[in-house]
Amino acid sequence: QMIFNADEAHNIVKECIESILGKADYNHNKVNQWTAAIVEQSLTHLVKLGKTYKYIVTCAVMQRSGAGLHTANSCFWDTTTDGTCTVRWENRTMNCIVNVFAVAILL
Amino acid sequence: PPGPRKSFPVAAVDEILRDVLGSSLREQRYEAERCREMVKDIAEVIKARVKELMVPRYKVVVVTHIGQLNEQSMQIGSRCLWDPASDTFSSYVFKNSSLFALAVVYAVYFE
Repeated sequence: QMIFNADEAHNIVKECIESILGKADYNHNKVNQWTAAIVEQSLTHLVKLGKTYKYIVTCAVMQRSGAGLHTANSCFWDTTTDGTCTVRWENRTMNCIVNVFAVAILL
Repeated sequence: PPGPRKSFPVAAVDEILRDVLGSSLREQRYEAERCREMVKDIAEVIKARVKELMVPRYKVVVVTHIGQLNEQSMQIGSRCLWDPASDTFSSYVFKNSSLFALAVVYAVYFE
């Protein structure tokens, strides 16, 4: 039976964030296309794993100003097959949090 | 092709989000420790109330954010790889003078 490989997803997402935000400074005009690119690239790579999952990827990018941000999740699913991973990343000017939720389907 | 017999009640979930966020946070000021706990509690309460709707064969993912309202800028987005004929989501943003909160419920049909 299929189980969710959180480490594999973590690495995929971390690379996507690095490639899109790596050298950038927070820019209000670009942040919309950055979050879109991070989630779309992450999804594309996850799909290439070829597993029978539906995926939900969320991304929050915030300017580093000392303000606090908390996030939580609660899932009603099949804990033997479904799973989640959270990637936290930051540079000098911004924070990024990406969540991946993988929901198994029967085929 | 077979699909869900009962479609997911998005309007009922919108109402749950508005009710839970509003009643939990209306008078709350941003405090790090309190909000760290509340963000988890709120996710659990929302999940429990969505489960009460008893929609067969749907899996549910609830994501909550609570943040301090300073002068900072932020962007939160998501994308889903799923079946748009059966899968859906609902979201709600709450703000007061001190904090903001976002709650999103994703409903995924177990086909």
